[in-house]
Amino acid sequence: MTRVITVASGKGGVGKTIVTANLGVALASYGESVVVLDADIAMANLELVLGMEGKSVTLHDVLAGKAPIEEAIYEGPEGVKVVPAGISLEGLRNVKLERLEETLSHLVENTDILLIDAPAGLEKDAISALAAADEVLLVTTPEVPSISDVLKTKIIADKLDVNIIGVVVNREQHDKTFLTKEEIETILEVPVIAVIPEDVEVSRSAAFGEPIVVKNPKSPVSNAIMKLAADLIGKEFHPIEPDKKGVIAKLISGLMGRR
Amino acid sequence: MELPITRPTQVSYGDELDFDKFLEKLARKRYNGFIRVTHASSEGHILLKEGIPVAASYDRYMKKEAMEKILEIIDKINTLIELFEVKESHIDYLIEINKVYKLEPIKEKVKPPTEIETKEETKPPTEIETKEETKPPTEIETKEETKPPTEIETKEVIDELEVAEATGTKEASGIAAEREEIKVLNREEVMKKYGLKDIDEEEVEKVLEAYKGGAITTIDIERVELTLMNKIKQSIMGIPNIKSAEVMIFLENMPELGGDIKVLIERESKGLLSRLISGVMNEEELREHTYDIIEMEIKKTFRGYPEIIENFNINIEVH
Repeated sequence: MTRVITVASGKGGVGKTIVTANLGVALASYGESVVVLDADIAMANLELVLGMEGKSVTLHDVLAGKAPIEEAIYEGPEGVKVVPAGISLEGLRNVKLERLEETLSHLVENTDILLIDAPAGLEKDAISALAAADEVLLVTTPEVPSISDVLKTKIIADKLDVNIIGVVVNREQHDKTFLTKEEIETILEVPVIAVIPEDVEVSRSAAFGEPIVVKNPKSPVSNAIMKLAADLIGKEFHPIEPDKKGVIAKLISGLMGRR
Repeated sequence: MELPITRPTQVSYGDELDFDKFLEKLARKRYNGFIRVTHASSEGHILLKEGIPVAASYDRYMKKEAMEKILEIIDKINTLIELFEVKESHIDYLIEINKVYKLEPIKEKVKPPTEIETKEETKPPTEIETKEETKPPTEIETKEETKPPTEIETKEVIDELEVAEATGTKEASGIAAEREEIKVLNREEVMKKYGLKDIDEEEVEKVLEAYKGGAITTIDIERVELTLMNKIKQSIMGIPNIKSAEVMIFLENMPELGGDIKVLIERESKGLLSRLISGVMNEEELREHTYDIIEMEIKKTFRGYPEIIENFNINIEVH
């Protein structure tokens, strides 16, 4: 049976799309058949994170009734299947959100996990993405505004009877102004199942359109995402240890710039 | 080492910093984080758990060798020393992914323990010992505790706790339970601390209604059905030679408003001659005319949403 998991945040800019993209790739690397769907039809950027921009047929076309969903599925890293939303504002005018449900029913065929990257906020498109799911993964940063917004999303998800798997705390830094894991769990009344540290490498990899779990699988961020993926499907997680760098490799990295 | 490089909490040059005192200070603070040391094109890291170095790397060196290399360049004028703080909960994880750099625990060079000593060391602490460990410290004890612990002392405390936890002794589970108790926070207090509040039921309903396609309730739907039914019936009855008209409307509001409209029309006269004389519409014309009437009434009812007509199935029967 296909698991339909929506990744939602409430507030924009918390790294939800990057988490979704990398989680999709991580799940696929464990041998799962994964489809990642960008439901953020107004502010789509999943395709940018995965380096798949400029695709001719996108979810926009499917929701506008111009193309079948099969034509909007593209293969990404580790064999993850991706349905980009498309970034054309022109296409947005013709979109019929009601077709999303029908689209999803086609997607779940032959798929183990359908990951939906939900739009931020609580507009109709965001709630459609929540309502379409069986389970939801909440992503937040440990900052007050993010927690405030994700709390609203959590309440709506509860009302829609969507099973909340847990909270992913993204871009964690040890800063006293941020909320602790315990405080987040207390406020949201949902367990924190992953803590992903802040790392500039994530933005760099996104800029190059390459998921960090592929670009730098040894990094703490990649290990945290791989662990989250393993936990979601009940597989054993083995951290990827850094290589023992040789003198030449070290010299080259020294010449190319630090870390 | 693979470490999350964020903003350093302290930056110094080797000649400006007494590294021994610096390490002592970190041990005293039971600091969790890491030190990055940069000298020319070489870079090294010392990972600290509760102030104790637990892993080290420098250039191609690892573990103890790396520490020795770092100590060789640590007081040089062009050595940059940066300190990064890491959350306590991340430390074990960072140790795990960097375990190739893990330093061996410092062991005191003592004579091999006799059999009796070994037994004594491994026996679980008695209840009294546990109680003593967990009782609140007196003022004198607190003062004593604030004195800088030596590296070995601190390491011993960590080792003891790790051993207790690893062996799964009752004491360890007791300590863990105690920790859990401490962690239980009051939601109201935490919410108040950060100025957060739950959204009220009314607001939630508004959000969900908007998602369902507008603020239309079941009562509204029944009212719309009745109004639309009467309007369509009145318009049909305005057509000449119509004996009766039955209009049935079944509206649905999910995912958006639409439904089925069924109309049964009975004409007064079915005779060909009378129809020719009075100029009444034939069956097909009447069906088309009725269809136009229904469309117009729907559009008039839902002004501003003419496209809603696509959501209706219209069925007309003429007898």
